[in-house]
Formats: sequence, structure tokens, C-alpha cells
Amino acid sequence: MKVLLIDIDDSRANKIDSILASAGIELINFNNQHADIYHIVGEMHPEIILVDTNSSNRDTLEHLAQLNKEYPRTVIKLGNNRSESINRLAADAGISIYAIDNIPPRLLQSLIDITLSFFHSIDRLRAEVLALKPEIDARQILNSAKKFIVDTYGLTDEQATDLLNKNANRQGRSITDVARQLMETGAFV
Amino acid sequence: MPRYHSLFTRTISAIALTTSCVAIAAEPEKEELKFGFIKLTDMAPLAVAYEKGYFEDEGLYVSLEAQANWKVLLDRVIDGELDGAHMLAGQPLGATIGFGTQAHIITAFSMDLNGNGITVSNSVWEEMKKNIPRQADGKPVHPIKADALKPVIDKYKSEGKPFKMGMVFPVSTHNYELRYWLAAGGIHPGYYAPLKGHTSGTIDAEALLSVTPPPQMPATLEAGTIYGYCVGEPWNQQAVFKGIGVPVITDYEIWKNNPEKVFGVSNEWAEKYPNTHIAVVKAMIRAAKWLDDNNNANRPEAVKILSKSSYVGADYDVIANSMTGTFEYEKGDKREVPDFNVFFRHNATYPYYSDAIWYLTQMRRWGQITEYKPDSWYMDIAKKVYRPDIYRQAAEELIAEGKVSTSEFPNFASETGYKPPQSEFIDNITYDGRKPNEYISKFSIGLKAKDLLK
Repeated sequence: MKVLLIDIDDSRANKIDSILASAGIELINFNNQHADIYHIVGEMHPEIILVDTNSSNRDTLEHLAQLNKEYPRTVIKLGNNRSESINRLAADAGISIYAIDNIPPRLLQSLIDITLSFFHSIDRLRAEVLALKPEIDARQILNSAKKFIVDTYGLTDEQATDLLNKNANRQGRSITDVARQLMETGAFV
Repeated sequence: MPRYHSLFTRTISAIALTTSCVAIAAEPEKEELKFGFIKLTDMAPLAVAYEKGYFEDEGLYVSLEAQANWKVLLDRVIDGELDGAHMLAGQPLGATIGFGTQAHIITAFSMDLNGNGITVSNSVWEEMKKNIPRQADGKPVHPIKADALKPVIDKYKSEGKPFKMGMVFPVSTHNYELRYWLAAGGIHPGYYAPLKGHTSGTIDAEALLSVTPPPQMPATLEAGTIYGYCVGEPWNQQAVFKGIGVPVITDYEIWKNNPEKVFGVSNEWAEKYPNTHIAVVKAMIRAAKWLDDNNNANRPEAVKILSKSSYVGADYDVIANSMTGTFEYEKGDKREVPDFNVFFRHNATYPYYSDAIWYLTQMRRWGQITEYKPDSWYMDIAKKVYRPDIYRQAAEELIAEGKVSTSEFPNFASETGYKPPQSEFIDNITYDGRKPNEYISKFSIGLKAKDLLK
């Protein structure tokens, strides 16, 4: 079975590729804005197309589906059922799915599920990294403030920490705030 | 800040209205709205309603969001992510009769008339030119008919080169205008093949039409993938500026004052938020009026707004070339086309049933509608999708508020929604919206009323 990916970046595509290849699905990745989609679809006859929801090539796919009923077209329903996962695929992963008529709904559903869970795990990782960022930033600013105090006033690391703590207490602010201010203005107040 | 300002003015006007008028603006059910658009100059009524504060005057807080393609724009209106959008006239009709996506989409506001052009590559133009008579000053006689293109296509064909041209979407105005122009010049643009079993949608085609996104048209032409295209502005004038192609005709010359984009919402949304819908149409009527006021006097300001990257994001000069009443064909051949973009005059914003039916006739003519439908079907679909009743309420509120005058609108009491028969088409064929089947059968190229694709 052939699946064509359009405008889905390589790093994402490569990862789904290894999963799907083990199921015997041939993935063709296609990522060139100016390429001729008519030619590609005509030559390859993909049974399923996964395309970036915002790809400008989607309007061309709509046209292809009208020109030839045997080309893949937008999947709105799986069998007779409205499928929530199709909307989630677009909203969460930014991917829209096109398929030819005789692909069994169950197969499409699995493909959507695999793709979704893959992108979900990537998104979760990304979210976790993002959540860490403020903490990392705070440590960095504290370290450079300490280094600044040590270098400028010849104090020890411990004394520098103490100095920052005292200023923070006196001003009723967090030590990170005081450190940031020190780095931005060169003064404690 | 703007919120307070508009609450204040709204209170004042509400007091003034209760004493004197029948049409009173009701509170919108939903105040925060998100509308989608495609980066084309005819999204102007949305940008102007926003920038001039007309949405706020109606108590609406609108954000405008550019969409990457027509398909996603429609999908987002259907699933409610967008409250409404700048749409191709064929989109609400196509969706309602079930092309691609089945959804009931309606429109109560037409966004503009005309505004498209057909451009061919420099080398095609050089060949075409030989077949076009000259005026006294040496410039080609306009309008240029596709008759001049026919020998060029025949030559390409004899060399084994299929003649490819671009347009923007299967149900786009551009598709139907390009087909109309080609067919009027004896060039068959091919039928659609919506029936299963057909192997090619290019049945009988002498020119092969393909979809290319508007901003990519000039580059695709330059790359030689297509030899010409039909698109809205600024993408025809862009070809002139870049020296890669020559616009040969505007759609104004193909069908004088043809309806172009519409503002579409889902029927479900319209039923849920009727007052909001009226408020939106009011703001857009004022924007359209501003765009045409005093003989296009505000157009330079409009061009400045549109050139911002959040709207169309093309150079001021490129947008101004068509928006300020002129159109440049071959480089240096700049002609007056004062009605190239019409936003308000000639009742441009009124959603005529006959406009809807014209699009349906073309869908039938080219096989997108596969089989014979009685005249009553065309009228029923038009009524289901085009909503002059909502437009009328919006206009009457504006009249009552003294913001517009009665004379700027059709006579609502007697208006039927059907324009009188029109004959200002490039092939002089008369269109009467009340007789769609008779109309379809008048063309020598295209399916007749009862034809089926074999």
C-alpha cells in the first residue's frame, strides 16, 4: 500500500516511516512547494495521502479528486460514522487525510490512531521541555549574577549567594528577580 | 479602550432609535468573532470594516486571520473554528449541494464585482499578438478574445505539448471565467468526470486546467509548468511588474459586473447568532460603501491598508495598479478600467439569486453537476444559500440610523432577487436567471441541459 505525505517535514515523516514500514506500508515523502502534484499523484497512484492541513497543495488535491474519481479525496467519515479522530488529526497534528474509495474504514482508523499517538507523544515531550525552560533560565541568571559579584567585588561564591539573598529579603522579591535586575542594571535596587 | 468607546456610542444610538424608528439594532448574541480570508485584494471589505472601526460600532470584536488555502478556510467555517470567511462564490453553493464536503453554508453579503484577469506567458503573448487587430495607436484592440489564442494552442498541440493553464479552485469564479473565455473562443476546457469509472477529468480538453494557489501563480508561470492563468489581484499585475507575463483580459470584459467573492457563514451559525449576523453585514456594507465613496477617493488609503503583511502583503504599487481604476496589460499599456474592482455601487453587495444560479449553470455546463435538474432546483438551491432577507434587515437598520440612504440599495419592497436578463458577456449570449436550463443549452461548447457524460 502506498501512502503519500505532502508538505510534512522530514523529521516528522522519517519517524512515522519506520513505524509504518514494518506494517508493509510504502511511504513517499513529498516536500516541495513548487512541485507538480498532478504529475506525482498521476504517476504514483497513492491510496492514501497525508497532507499538512495548511498546505497550499490542498486546493490542488480537491481539484484532482474532482477530475478523477479514482484519486484520493478528503475523508470526512469512516464508514457511516463521523470520526472525531479526523478532526483531532487536523487540530492536534495539523494533518489532513485523503483516501481512495475502497480503503477499509478500519485500516484508515488505525493509520489515524498511529499518526495521532505519535504526534501526541512528540507534543508531550515538547510541552515538558517548555515547562522546564523558566526554571533553567532562572538558574542561568542566578549563576551569572553570582559570577558578576564574585568577579567585581572579589567575594566568594557563598558570600555572593548570601548578598543576593539578603537583598531579596529586604525588598520582598525573589532572588531570581534581584539577580535579573542586577544583570540588567548593574545595581541591586 | 475601544470597547468602552463603542459601548458608549451604542447606548446613545439606541436611545435615539427607540423614539423614531422601526429598525432597532438588537444586541449581538456573540461579540468576539474570528473571520478567515485569503490574501487577495477583494478581502478589502473585511480589512476596512476592521480598520475603520465599523465592527466595533456594531459591538463586535473581530479578529481577522489569513488562511493558507480555500479548503481549510471552508473546513474551519464548517467546524466552527471560524465564525465566517471571505469565500469563493462557488464555495457555499458547492458545499450545500455536496461537492467535496457536504455542509449547509449561506451568504447574506456579496463582497465585490469583477477583479480577476487572465494572464499568459510572454512567449504565448508573442504568438497571440499576431492574431489581434491593432488600434490607430498600435495597441491591440480590446477585448481580446480567445480566438487569438486558438492557433497558438493548435500549434502546441501539433508539437505534442498539452496546453496547461492555472486557476485557483474547482468551484472558483476563476475556473468558470477562464472556461467561459476559452469556450467563447472555440477552445474546449474539458469536462469534469464526477462519475466513477471515468479515467480522466480532462475529457475533450484542448486546454488543461489545473489548480495553483494564487500567490504561486507568477512563479509557476515563470517555471513553465503552466502557460497562463486566471486569478484575482494582485497576481496579474505582479506578472507585469516582474516582466514574466501579459494580462490579456479582465473578467469585466468577459462578463460586465460579474459577482465575485461572498461572505460565507454556516447555516447553523446563522441560526444561532441572527443578530450578530445582521451586525456583521451592517459593518461590511459600510466598509464597501467607504471603498467606493466619492468615485473611489478612498482607494489609495485602502491600498495602504491592504499592503500590510497581515492582509495581502504585496507592494503598494502592485496593489494600486488595479485598485485605483486602471489596469496594466502589456507593460506600458495601462488602460482605464474604473470598474475593475467594484465593492458597493451597482448594488454589488446584494446577494442576488440570479448570481447564485449563474454559478450553478456553469457547474452543470462543465459536468460538476452530473445530471439534468429542473429550473426549480436551481431556484431552490439559490434560495437556500443566498439570503437577501438578512441583507435587507442589515440595510434597513443602517438606513434608520442615517448611515446610508435608501437610494443606495435595491427597492426592497419590489426586489425579486433576479436581475433582468443580462447580455453583456463576451459572446453576447443572454443570461436570464429564471431560465437556467434554457441558458445552459445556448452554448456550443459545454453540456446541454439534458446531456449526460458518456
